Amino acid sequence: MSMRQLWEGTDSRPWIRRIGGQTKVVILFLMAILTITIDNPRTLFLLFFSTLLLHLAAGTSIYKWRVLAALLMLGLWGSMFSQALFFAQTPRTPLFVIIARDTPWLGAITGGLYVNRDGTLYGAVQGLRSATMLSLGLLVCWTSDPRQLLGALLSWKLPPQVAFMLVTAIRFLPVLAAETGEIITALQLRSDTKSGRTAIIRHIPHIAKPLLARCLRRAQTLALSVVSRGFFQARQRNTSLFVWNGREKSACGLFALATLAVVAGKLCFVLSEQGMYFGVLRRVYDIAKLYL
Amino acid sequence: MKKIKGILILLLFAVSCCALFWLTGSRTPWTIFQQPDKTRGITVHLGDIPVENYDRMGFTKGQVQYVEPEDGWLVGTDRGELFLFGQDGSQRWKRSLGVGKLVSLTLSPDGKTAYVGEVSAEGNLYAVDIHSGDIRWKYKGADYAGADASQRSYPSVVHIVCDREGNVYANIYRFLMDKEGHRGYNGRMISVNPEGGLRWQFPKNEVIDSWINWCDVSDGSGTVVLSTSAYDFRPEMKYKATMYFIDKDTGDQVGTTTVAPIPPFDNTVMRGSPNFSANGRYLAASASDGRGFLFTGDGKLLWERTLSKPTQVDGAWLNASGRDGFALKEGVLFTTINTFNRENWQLPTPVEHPSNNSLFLFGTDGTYKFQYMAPGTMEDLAFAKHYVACAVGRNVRTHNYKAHGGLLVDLETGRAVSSFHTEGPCQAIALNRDATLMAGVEAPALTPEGKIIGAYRLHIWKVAEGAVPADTADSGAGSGNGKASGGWENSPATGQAGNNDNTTGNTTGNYGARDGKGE
Repeated sequence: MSMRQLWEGTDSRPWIRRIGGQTKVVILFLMAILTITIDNPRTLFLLFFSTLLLHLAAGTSIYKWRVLAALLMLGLWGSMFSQALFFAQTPRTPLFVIIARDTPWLGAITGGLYVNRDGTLYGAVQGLRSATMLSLGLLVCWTSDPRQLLGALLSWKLPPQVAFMLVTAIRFLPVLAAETGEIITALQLRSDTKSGRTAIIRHIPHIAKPLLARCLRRAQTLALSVVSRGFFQARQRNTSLFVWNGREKSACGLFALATLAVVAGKLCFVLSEQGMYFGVLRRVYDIAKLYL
Repeated sequence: MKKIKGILILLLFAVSCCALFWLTGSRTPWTIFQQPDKTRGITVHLGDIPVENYDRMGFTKGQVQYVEPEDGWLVGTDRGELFLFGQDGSQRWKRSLGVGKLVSLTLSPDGKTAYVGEVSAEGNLYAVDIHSGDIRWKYKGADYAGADASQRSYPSVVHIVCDREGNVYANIYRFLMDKEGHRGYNGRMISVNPEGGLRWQFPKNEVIDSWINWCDVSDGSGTVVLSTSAYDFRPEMKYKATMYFIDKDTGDQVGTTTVAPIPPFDNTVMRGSPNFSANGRYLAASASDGRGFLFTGDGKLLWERTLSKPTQVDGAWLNASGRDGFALKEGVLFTTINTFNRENWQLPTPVEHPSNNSLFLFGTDGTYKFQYMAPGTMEDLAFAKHYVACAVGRNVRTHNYKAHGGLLVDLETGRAVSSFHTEGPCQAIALNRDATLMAGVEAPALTPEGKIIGAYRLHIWKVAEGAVPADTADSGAGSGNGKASGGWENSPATGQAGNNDNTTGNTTGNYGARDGKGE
């Protein structure tokens, strides 16, 4: 599978490709609200796991799974390790001492370095938030034609400029990946070192400049193409091509209601902690405390 | 090789997912390899609070009570928050009552309403539904004792008691400082019925010009007693008596008792007493000068005992201040706290008084039974069956940080039966009705060495799992020779015993009561 194919939605199962752009965008948006609202680690894990199940159901290829796994692990473990070491809130329960407070010089500079239990969990929560959105975002990216998303945005009367820019960002992802691949190949070929010339990691610091230059060139071409076709001048657009399926609309409505309930429950709980407490809502507070 | 790498990534990802599943289920890594420490019990963090210096006089507080109808623990904090926790430490509800610190907490006889007092610019007295957490009513203490923000003189609902009908009696006071730097007081007692209607206030048309730290009510005698605690005593003060007796239904004063001070003190100060026996026939009190008293229900002295005699060492008067007094069915219980220097309470003393940080038990006829000395100040007591639970807090003289924790003492034998260590000082304690569970509130402290010990948290312990160190278990089982143990010149238990009747009255209904009448 080429680098470009890796980022394009070409090999997923038909059922998920048939789902409208509107539905995908709405689910992404509601899921983003949920991941921000929910603080309970187990619930966040379940949300994250549900996105992985969607990948399974969508038939994400093994090659894409590997990429997904690598990206998710980098984010999750990075967040957990950094918070385990540098967690600033209290309480902090040290599990391991890396640098003791009374170690000469280093101890005085760092004030001691510990692996904190509470930081690990906090890092996991933060990592799960970003991992959930990354996983779902990649699912949408891998299962959607950019035109589908553009149509969805236009059908919601979004200004074509804004809609175009949003979709271009998605469309550019595979292009960017392909460009990066080409640049790395070129750098490997030009490398004059005898050992390790094929190692990607040693070429990474030199990628930025050529990649930027290529992107600017592509952007210029794209801008010229858009202007010459009169894309933003079009007054009549046929949005009937992007009609939102009734069943999908209902499902999105239900999901939106559920999200609204979660947000309202959480808000009630937060207000109760600030003094606006109502006994009749105790059940809501319980649910918010235990599961949200 | 590429295939193996790919499989390895997926394998690592699967392991990561399993680890996350484990981590997010409130489990924490690595601790499974450790031996569980049962003496640590269940711990619940109560939020961050400013850490106070270990040696300072006023220190972080906490309130905890066992609530039998809910089978849980009601906790009030210095953050102004009230919690209801289950036995497993799960939070049933939490509500913020305002910006003040919660300084007093008592339960209605049916255990369904909590009465909570705070110190704040308003100094509110709250009635809170324990099941739902709703506020049923509240009274603004500032309306009765005043408030002066310019002097940071805020009212405090310092002590609350409840009678059998559920009527509430609360002491409200605030400190004042005049231009000459003299300390003054504004105090008042109010009584409120269970529905929140004001029954009466004492005094009716003025404030008490003395510090009123304690009160108790007796259903048997129909009287409320109010003690004064003015350290800064002046002859021109109007309310100079040691105790005031008030008709609990009308709020009229029915009598006073004045206990003459002993040198070097100017006034007899009662901070954590007096308390009636369950039938109202006796009233037990101890004074800051180190004496313990048993009165009749209407305030006539039956006998007094010297628990800690003030002694002059290198020109400074030292003694262990007396604080609590309870008339129980096992006898009359008194407590002493740390050793203090009379000239300046903040100054360290060169020695510990041999009677400090102790429980003393006497028979109702005044016969000495035992002294039990704890390694730190007993900040709070709770009673159930024939046990007393003690919150062992700071020892500002020895700085023995190992002293902190919860301690259960058998009042029949005078021995510790269970103890649990906390890192920081234990500031409040409660027992369930059958004395099988104990809960304590631990506070953080900044030691003179600059180290922060402990945190603001609730501990729930199973009494059966508490290991008692040998030195505390045998601390003070007395010989019953009528003399408090210790190397200093303690007075023998003198005075005429009054009535030999045991005080075996029924409970007034408080669950897990700290008023000593829970059984």
